[in-house]
Amino acid sequence: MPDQALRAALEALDAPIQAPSDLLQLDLKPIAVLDAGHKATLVAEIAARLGAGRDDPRLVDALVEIGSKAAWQQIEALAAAAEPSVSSARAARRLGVLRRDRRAVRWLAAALRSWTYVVEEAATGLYELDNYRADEALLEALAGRDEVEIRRVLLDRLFVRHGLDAWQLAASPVWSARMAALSPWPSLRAEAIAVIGRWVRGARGGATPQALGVAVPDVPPSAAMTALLKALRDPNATLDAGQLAILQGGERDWAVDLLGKALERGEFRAVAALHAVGGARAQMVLDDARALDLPVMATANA
Amino acid sequence: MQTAHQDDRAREQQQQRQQADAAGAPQAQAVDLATPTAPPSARQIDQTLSAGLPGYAEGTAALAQKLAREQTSQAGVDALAANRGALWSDVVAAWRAAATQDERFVKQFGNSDPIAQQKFRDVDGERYYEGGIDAVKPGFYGAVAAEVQTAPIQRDRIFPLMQRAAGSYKFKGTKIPGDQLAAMSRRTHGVGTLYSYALSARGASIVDTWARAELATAAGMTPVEAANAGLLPDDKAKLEALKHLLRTTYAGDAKGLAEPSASLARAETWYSPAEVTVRPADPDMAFADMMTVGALQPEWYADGALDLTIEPTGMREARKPTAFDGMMSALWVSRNQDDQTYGVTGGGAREFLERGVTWAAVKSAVPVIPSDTWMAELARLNAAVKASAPGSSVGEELLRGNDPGVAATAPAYEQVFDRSLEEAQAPTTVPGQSAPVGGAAMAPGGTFDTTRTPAPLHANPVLGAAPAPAPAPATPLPVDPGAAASDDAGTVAASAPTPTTPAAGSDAIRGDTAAPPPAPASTTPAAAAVAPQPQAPANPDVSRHAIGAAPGDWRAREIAAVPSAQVMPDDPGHVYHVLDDGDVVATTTPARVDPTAARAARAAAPTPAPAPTTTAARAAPAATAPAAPTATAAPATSAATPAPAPAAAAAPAVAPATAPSVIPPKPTTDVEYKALAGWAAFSANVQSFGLPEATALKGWKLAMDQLYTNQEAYDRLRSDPAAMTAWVDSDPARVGFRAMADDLLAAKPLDTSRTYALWSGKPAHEYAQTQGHEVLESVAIGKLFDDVRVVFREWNVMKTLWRAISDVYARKIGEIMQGHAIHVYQRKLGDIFAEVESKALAELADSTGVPPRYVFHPLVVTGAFGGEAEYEKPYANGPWRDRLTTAAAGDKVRAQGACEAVGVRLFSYTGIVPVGDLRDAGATGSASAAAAVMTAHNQDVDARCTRAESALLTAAGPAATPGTSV
Repeated sequence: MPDQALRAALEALDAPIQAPSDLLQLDLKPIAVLDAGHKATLVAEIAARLGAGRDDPRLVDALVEIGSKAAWQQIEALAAAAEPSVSSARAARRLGVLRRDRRAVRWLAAALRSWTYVVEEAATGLYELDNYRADEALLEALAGRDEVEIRRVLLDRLFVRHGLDAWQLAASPVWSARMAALSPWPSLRAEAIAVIGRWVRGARGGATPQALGVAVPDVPPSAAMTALLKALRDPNATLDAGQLAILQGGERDWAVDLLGKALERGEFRAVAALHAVGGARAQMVLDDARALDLPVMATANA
Repeated sequence: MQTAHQDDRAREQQQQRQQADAAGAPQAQAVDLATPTAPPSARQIDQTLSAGLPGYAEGTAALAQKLAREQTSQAGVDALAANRGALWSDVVAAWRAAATQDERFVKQFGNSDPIAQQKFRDVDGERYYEGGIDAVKPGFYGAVAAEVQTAPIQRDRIFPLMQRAAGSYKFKGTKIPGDQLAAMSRRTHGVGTLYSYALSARGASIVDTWARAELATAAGMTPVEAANAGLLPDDKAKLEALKHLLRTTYAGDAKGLAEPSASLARAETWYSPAEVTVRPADPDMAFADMMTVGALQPEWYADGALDLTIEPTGMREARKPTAFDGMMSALWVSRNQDDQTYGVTGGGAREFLERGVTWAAVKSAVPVIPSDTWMAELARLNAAVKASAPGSSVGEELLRGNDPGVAATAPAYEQVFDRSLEEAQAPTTVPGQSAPVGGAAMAPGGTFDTTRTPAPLHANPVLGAAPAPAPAPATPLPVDPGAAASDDAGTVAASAPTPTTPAAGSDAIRGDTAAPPPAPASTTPAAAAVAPQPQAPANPDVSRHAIGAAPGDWRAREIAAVPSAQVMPDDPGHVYHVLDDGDVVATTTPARVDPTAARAARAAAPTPAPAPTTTAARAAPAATAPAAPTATAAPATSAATPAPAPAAAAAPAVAPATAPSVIPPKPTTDVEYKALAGWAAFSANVQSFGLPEATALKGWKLAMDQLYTNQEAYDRLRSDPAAMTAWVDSDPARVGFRAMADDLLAAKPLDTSRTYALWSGKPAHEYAQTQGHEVLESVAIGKLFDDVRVVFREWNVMKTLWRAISDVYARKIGEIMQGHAIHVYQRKLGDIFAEVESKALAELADSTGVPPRYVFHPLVVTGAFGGEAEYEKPYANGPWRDRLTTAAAGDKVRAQGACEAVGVRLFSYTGIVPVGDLRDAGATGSASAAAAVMTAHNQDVDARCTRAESALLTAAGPAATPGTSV
């Protein structure tokens, strides 16, 4: 029979998840106090759980807490797993950050092709690794993934890493790029992701927000913009073409993004409004919507 | 000694040549006169010449033809073959003549140098050379050919000759009008260059003073005494002093050390547009990043670099780079894109060449000085290559597949090479501009072709281009064939360091004596990960999973038996007996097995094991089992779906077991729902909110049904990422949870008069409450599952539950707080806020198109880190406590005293920090700004801990130093 210390550690491994914070880590205290022999046993126990198909990144952190050679061997083997899982991404993340294992970026980049939870873990790992290759992996995934949930995760990690989140202000280039990168419009999206890539590479090279052109003052919306925001909240409101036509600069881009969202929701009024705003970006949204055969466009054409 | 040795060797070689001349020439003459025989054929001559000069087949064949035409005698051929210098000269001359064109000759001669191969392609594809490239190619190749003929040269290292020949063709690219140039530009400048060419009188004086002081201190004198004693710093000492100053006094800006009128370069040099500043980061990583952006070879900056921001004034003379300018570096990537003003570096930055810029135009010069370890290694590598492959460089040798002994700096080389290879193989494009003409710049077999043999070392692009093969094993640098056969003094064997060391970062793993286990090939993600560490049992009759004696009556209670190898591959040769109470005994020597083996045995038992069915067992129920619906079938159809045939042996490695989850069949009646583990606590929680049991049961059934559904979906879809992503983020994966939460919020609404906050890192939630906010944990919806131990334990499945609940909460507070900033209290980075709640709020904002407004409160504890565990290193209290205790030779009281002396309070917090000790380090508007505040705090504590450790080690003396025996 395992003694009390080992029993407590084993119980910690299998403790129920009763709150969001329980998803983050196991109670590692019972593990930290184990002697070397019990730690060896615990490594085998964790290995058995992982081997039985349990995908639980907290087990990786338990192995890190044990810290023995055998524990790190398990982590390394897990990171190199053929199919990514949340656990394997956590393993790569820990190897990359704690052991500066150069393979971590590759493993994590591969994990970005997986499903949501795995991507969340891998993206966080790449955020922590904080080097240009990590950025490139995130950017490539951003350009390559269609799922908006995934793109949101990738964008958030990139923005926070490079301080772009501080410039997510209304009518700002960063907010507009974010909206476009998360939009369903392929042309607009591609352009935005390329812009974000330039910002990220520039920031990685040390460019200031001013040099990147993302630093803008936080100013309240104009009267025309306020009217548009209000009208968009009411599906029955008319969008004033005259007001739309006078929008300038960042507000014009913001309006295109907002109207693009309305178009995405199937609001017929957005088509005319986009025409009223005019310009290359608005046209890009309309062209993309047409190419995507959105029913709302068929109505508009009719 | 060395000089004498070299003199001796030179004398020996001279004697050998004289003997060869004396023996060869007269003999040939004698034979010719005495026995006139038929001259050898071209083939015979070629054989002789090839033996004398292997590796130059095209040349020896050409010379053989020539000698055959001239009817040269065998003796004449032999004499020529014996005289290596003459043979080289004749071979190259004949080859060059036979090729008829110098371009053809040079391309043939250099076809085994991958860098030359790439450069040939760059020259051929050049589009921006003023007046056209075709007009100057003959001159360029003629100059290379002439140099080839001058002295023996290795065919696989012809690139340095091309570099020299390119000199007069540089800075001839298309002119860039001044109005197209960015006002600001940047340049990477070597510290060595600053020292040698650009220090102002004042700067030189500062450096000299510091170097003198250093020298004097080392000698235990005053500077004046040292000077009087003749102790004056040499250039090396002064350069070291300059580096010290750049790391300290001038770490922010070094331009004050430079002479304003000094040119930035002796001729034209490279710039990029954009104003940049160097990121404050790990100096080695910052250095690597800097090299990467410019595609610079790290060894060029062995003394560190300066990041210059420049604002030139007046007339500017700038040009687009051409292939000849690009000869400067093996890593230069050609970029034929007409509508771009600039070229593009291998790092993806724009670049151009400009002349006549002086230090007066420099706005800032930020030093980026890597660690001493890196600089020492770069210097060592430069010396090794200089000795063994003169004219070449570390970067070139690595790109050719030769390893001069890169170790610590491997990450820098890998980063630079990877990025340049990516740019060459799959060039970045700019929307609105044409793609580069001719596509990728990569020449087959050239620098950037990772499929060639040998492959470039430290180059494994992970993105974009096809994955590179594993780097070739490190090979020593080849011996220069032009050197005398006996002259091996300069070979790598004597001068190069040891071959490549293991990858940085994995040293600790690979440094162990045992090799790590190979990654098991498996299609099951987590199953692929592990192979329990085999430990040979002392007695082969005893299971390795034995943990105690078997019950005395175990035979009578046995209900099933399973061969051990079928369920625990690490424990073959035994039989696992499942007992009527779920316990499992292994034989031959009867012994109870550990819980893992017991679970596996129960799961694989051919008759229903007494313990409730596990997920694995549900996947493979016994034929005699009741036809209960399985959780692996969709709920709508599960009752009607026959259970799959039992797997003969569900090996744990592939079974989707959720150890130790014990999931009964999905309930169908209220009684069965209430029989599920956790109901009593859940019901009590709901009723504690003043709600009836009926509300609790409704919520419970919604939650449980959704959990069953999600468990089934997880088991079914886990190998299909796209399907799994679609599922997790879809309504069907959340609808039950959301309905449960909505019902609860309808019955127990959030108080709209209150303010709500988000948090990360305990006890930030308590701190938020002290500031008057509500948090998820303080409201009913967050307390629903307090002390509820549900049967579902799978992390991914439980995450769907809590993600949905957090989503509902975040959206609800998003609505309540509309128009107001949402406060986020952060004790550590990431955590629930980043991973769950912020996502929900971002979704909300993205759907409205209006950016959310946050106020982040970084919460710190004076003298302590935000992290505690090993995985949170380096900013973790626990590991630092251990380290400091070790430094104090185990004396915790002394360790604590040393900490407190420098303001560190790690020993005061061995558990969760009391909420009263948290301090708001200043509200900010973004997560990145809050992260910067917390990182700065952690770095400060880290520095203090280091000081405490130093004090402890110094006080204790060497005997207490970790790693030394006491």
